[in-house]
Formats: sequence, C-alpha cells, structure tokens
Amino acid sequence: MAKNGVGARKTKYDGYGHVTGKTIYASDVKKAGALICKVLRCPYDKARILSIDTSEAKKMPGVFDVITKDDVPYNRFAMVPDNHVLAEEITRFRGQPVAAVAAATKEQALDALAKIKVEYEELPAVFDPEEAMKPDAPQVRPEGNIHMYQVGDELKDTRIIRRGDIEKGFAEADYIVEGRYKIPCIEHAPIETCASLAYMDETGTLVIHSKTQGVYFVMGDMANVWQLPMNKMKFVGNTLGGSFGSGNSVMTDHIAGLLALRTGKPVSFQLTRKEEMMASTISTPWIFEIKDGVRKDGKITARYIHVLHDCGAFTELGEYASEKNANLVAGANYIENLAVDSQMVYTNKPASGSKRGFGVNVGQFAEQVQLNKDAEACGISPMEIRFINAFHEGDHTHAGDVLRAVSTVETLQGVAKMADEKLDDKYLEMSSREVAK
Amino acid sequence: MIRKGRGVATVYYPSGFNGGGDPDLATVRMKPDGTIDVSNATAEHGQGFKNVAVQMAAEVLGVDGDIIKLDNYNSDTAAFSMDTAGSRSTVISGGAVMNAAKDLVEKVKAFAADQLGVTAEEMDYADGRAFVKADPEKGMTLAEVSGAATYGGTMLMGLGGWWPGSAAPRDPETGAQHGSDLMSYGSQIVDVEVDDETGVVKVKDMYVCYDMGTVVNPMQAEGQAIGGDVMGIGMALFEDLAPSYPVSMQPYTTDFTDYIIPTFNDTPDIDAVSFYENPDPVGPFGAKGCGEMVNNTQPPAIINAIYDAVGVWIDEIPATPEKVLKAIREKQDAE
Repeated sequence: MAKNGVGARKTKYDGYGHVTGKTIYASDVKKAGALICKVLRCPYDKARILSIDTSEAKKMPGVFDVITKDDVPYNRFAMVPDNHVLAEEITRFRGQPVAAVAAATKEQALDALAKIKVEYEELPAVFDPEEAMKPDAPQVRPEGNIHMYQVGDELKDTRIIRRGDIEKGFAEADYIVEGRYKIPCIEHAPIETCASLAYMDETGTLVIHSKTQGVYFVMGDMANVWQLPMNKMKFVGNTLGGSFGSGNSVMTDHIAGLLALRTGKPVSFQLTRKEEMMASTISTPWIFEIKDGVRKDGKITARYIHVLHDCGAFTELGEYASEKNANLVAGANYIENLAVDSQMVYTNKPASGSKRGFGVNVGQFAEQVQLNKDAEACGISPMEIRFINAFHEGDHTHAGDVLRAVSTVETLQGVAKMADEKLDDKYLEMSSREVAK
Repeated sequence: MIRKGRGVATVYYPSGFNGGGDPDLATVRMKPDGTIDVSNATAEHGQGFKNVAVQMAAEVLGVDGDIIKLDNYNSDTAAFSMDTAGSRSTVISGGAVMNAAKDLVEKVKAFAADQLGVTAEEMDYADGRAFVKADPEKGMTLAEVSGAATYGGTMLMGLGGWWPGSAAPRDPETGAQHGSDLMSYGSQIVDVEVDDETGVVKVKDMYVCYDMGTVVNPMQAEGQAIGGDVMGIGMALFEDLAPSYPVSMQPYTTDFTDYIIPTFNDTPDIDAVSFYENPDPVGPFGAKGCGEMVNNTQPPAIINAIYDAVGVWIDEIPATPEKVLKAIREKQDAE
C-alpha cells in the first residue's frame, strides 16, 4: 500500500526548511568576488534618447563593465519578443532599463550610475487605455497603439467570440442590465524580489541562479539574447519566495547573464522593492462593459461584453491574457446568445505580466457583480440566478469546448450549506448532471 | 453604524495553457537501495508541487512518499517543464510524473521477470514489489531490483510525458477555439461589515467550496484556498499601484507603506474551506488544477456583499474607504 500517496495530508516537502530559514532561495546565493549590478532607469513616461555617454562611468573605481543596448547580442525578448533588454531610441515607461553597471560594491555601482550621461527629449505619453485607442493619441510603439489579433489570414483590432443570435436573445429579454467595471494596476507583491546570480563555471557554461518560475519558459528566450546554445547555459533555482506570476517575465536574468559573460566574473543583480514595484511587469488595467438581456425568471437570454485590456508598454504576457480572457470572461454561465468583443491597447506604463488568475479573475469579477445586478432587476436572489444560469454536464463553453465533470451547482449547494444560507428545495435537488434546459 | 452584508460568487477555471500546447516531461529512477528520485523542472513557489509529484509517484509505485525525492533544481538534471503557470502543474507536470512512474513499474517487472526466469507478461506489481502472478511469493522488491540492476550495469529509468493537446486556430467567424476542457469549479459566500460613517469594509467570514477534482493533498489545498482568500481580499479592498490612473501614473506606490496588502488584521474570523471532489476523467488520478481558481471569487463576492450591506455598487476595485464612503454619500444625497 502506498503511504503518503494521493489524498494524504503529507507535510509540505520542504516546509520545515522554509520556516526555519534553511531553504536557499536565488537571492540567498552568494559567490565570492561577485560583482553587483545596478541599472539606470528612464525617469520619464516616454522619451527619446538623444545620446548616452558611459565613458566617465567606465572610469569610476571598482567598475568592471557598463552596458547599453549596443552591447546586447540580441536586444529583444519576452513571450512576444518585443521587449527591449536595454532601452532603444524611444523609451516607453518610467523605470525602463537604459544602461547597466557591474561594479565591485553596491556603492561603486550606484556611483557609476550617477556618472552615465543620458540626454533625453521628453515626449508626450498616454496612460488611459481609452485615450490610447484614439487616432491622435501619443504613439506608444511604432506598430500603433491598438493590438492586432490574428483572425484567419487577417489581422483585426478585435478578438470576437460569437454564440447563437444576440439580437434574438435581447428581443426575448424582459430586462436589459448594463454595467461597467474597472480593474486597476496591481502588483504581485512576492516576499522575494526578482534576483539573479550569474557566473561562468569551469566548463564555460553560463550558470544563473534565478528567481524565474519557468526555467524552460525563459531559456529559449535567453539563448536568443545571449546568442548561446541551451547547453551552454544552466538555470538553477526553482524554489521561490513567492511569485504569483511575476517570475514568468525576465527582469534580471538577461542583464546579469550578459554582464557575467562579458566580465567573466560572478554578477549579482537583485531588484530593490521599489524597482520590483515600478519596473517589473504588473497586472495592468482592464475595462469591462457588460450588457445583459434577462428574462423575468432570471434566465440570461443574451450577453454582450466589450473588453479593453491596457497592456502597458510592451506585449509581455498581455496578448496571452487577452486571448484567455476572451474565452472565459462570460463566466460559468450557460448563455445561448453571446457576443464578446475584446481589444488590447498599449500605454506608457509597465507591461502586462501574468498574475495569479491571469486574465480570468478580472473578467469573472465583472461578470459576477453584473450577475447580482441581473438578479436584482428580476427580483430574485443572487444564489438563485446562479443556479438558473449554471453550466451543466456536456454544455459548451463560450469558446466551444464541451464541459465534463461540471460542479457549479454542487459547489453552490456546498457553500450554501457551510454558510447556513437557505435554498429552495428545487435548488437543493438540482444536479449538474441533469441536462434539460 | 456598522452594516452587515453577504455576497456570493461562482467561478470556473481551466487547467493548463489557454489553447493547450504545453507539455511536461518527467523521469523516475532509483538509488541502489530502492529509494526514488523524480525529476521535473516545475518551480515551487509555495503552491506545493513537490508533494504533488512525490504523492503521485508514491501512489503508482505503492511505496511511502517519504522515500521519494524531487529534483526540480536545475536545467541540467531536471526534466523539461513548459512553465509553472496557468494552474497546470498538478495536471500536466503531475501527469508526466504519474506516467514516468508507470513506465518504471513496467521496466521493474521486465527486469525482475528476467532475473526470476519468467516472462514480463507473467509478472504483476503491487506495493513496491514485482512478483510472479501464479506464485506471488516469488518476486523482488524495488530495493532488490535496483540493487541487482545498478550493480549489474542496467539502467532502469521510468520516462513519462503529458501532452494536453494543442488547439487549432480560432474559427474566424465565431472565435471558437479549444481553449481548455479541463475545468475546476468553485463558489464562495462572504460576510462583510461596512462602517457607513467611514467607508471601511471588514471581511468577517469566508466560506468556499471547490471542485478541484481529486484532492491530491487536502492540507496543501486548504492552504492554497486560504491564501487565495487573503490575496483576494487585497485585490477587492486595498491594492492599487497608481491610484490616480487613468489621469496620471503619479503618484505610483513603491513600498508596502503605500501599497497595502492584507495582514493578519485583515483576515476573516472564519475562513472555511470544503471540497466537492468531482474527478476529471482525463486528469491524473482525477485531479484538476487549483492554484489560480482560489484567487477568483473574493473580489466579486466582497463587492456583492458591500452592496448587500449599504446598497452601493463599487464597480471599480479596490473598494477603498474613500470610494465606499463617496458612494454612500451620493446615494444619501440622491434619496
């Protein structure tokens, strides 16, 4: 018989190590003679870099290297590789890395940063995603502010989801309920900030002790930046002090690795809390507009959703979030007549990173508050409207998948019992397996 | 005056990348004494994947999970993992580990059969031991197999992968895409107290019922659920990096004095978690993902509870005291 197998309340694998301080995280790893990396960040929301002069910084005591974009073998990276390792001519958000220094001590690195001369021309920026959609808005990127989705052989500015006949559904409704919901800029806030310790080992392999949550997710990308084959690099770590999705975006590995390659010395690069918050990827804003057609008995006959995702300055994981959101934004409700129009726009703020609940919890927030407004319009309880519209076994998701092992009804029953919330018999007897609509 | 309100929310959540196409690989091998080493490069950021891998391997091999170690430590030795994201690890990485363990069982049976002078088809396996079906006394434990194999120069390693499939391009007319059909479900009820003179919202009690299929480790799953609740309180009530957005990105919070995340003072009095285990027919051992779903219901349930308490909709989170009080005053002025 298996012991501590599936279903066992086995104590966390390395839990004692965590709570007694024995676990070694990437930020704990020390290497004798490691240089400290510090990064110069753009102080403007948007600017043109007219010139960068690193000559004085390079002469500062303790300085081993100062790099700008021209020193990066391949300066573009990320899941959609449009992000810049170090800033190119036009910067896109406050805090974007412009140059990096490797020096013997933190103080020497900071002193050297102060000697880098950058001449900027500040440019008009845009923060409001709805403003950024307008034709005369300041351009965040040369390709235009509005993201283009692949639709068949064409590129279009809207990702659409269509099911049934939305006009017919609205015509069948007794009430039309409209809502508009907004999600702000949210930080992942892990305990451990992003960190890398990079060095060349005895075989000439670039070793990175990294806080990444996707060793293989970023390896191909970094192979490109450094122009190295994958077996000339070794990522070490995979036990993180929290991440919540922040570790899917590279913040320190690329620069630390490059400085180690160039200097031949170990390089430690760890974001301060301030840097983590202002310059790493964040959960960028969303705006949802929902229009529901609801029958007197609480059945949603039609739902229209317009989504606008503010992607920030670079694509990072924003496109992925927008695509996933489009599939799931209508929530765990069976809706026969549905239309989703989803758009994404670039603005001058940190880029859209993955954050726990990635593209989904934001949409389900809007949809689940809207559902309560629907319930109020037809005079039924918030619990009832959820039972009435629940998915059942074999229903199609809004994107067309067939659902199996469905449990909306059962989890509602379960939580009602826990919270002593009274339900009508017909809801107590309901099952996800009954398929009659 | 303190006003009480109750809110509900129900959600569903896919396991794995949107549109699929995200495989994982794993190996399971033995030390000479029959203890087990599993490898897969999934990151552990607190969610508990290491135990998931160990417990699934223990279940297949019929051994104590305490003799199993997981190597996810580096890219030279740990088998490929696509990423640690998208609530994928239990299903996809776990599935790869399960398959690797099953492969090891077959290889152990074949090796023992050879040692015992029978065919692999005549062998069975249970509880860490390969034995002859017709004569169960005749068999070899994992330790015996591993010792004989290692010192006999035979490498026994279980290899496994998991491929969730990959979606075809979206239908250009309907946008249809096979995004994911492996879904978890969850519902939550939240009780709040709203001070209608200050706008301060206190989450009193939270109840959640989740279907994450077969629960691989209930203690860890409860931890995920409670952690998700607390993080969700932050999203509902506090967290906003740029409070002047969309007008300006300044001021921008850069520390935890200005960027408020929940502390123990903000956690509910009751945080009750239950599971409705509705196993997925495809997921390993019937498991579904849960890492992100547990961070979905809180903001809408809390906003719905605020409405129940004081009759105002806060459609732009977070529901800070300032926003709640402003909405209450506007409502009073209108009445």
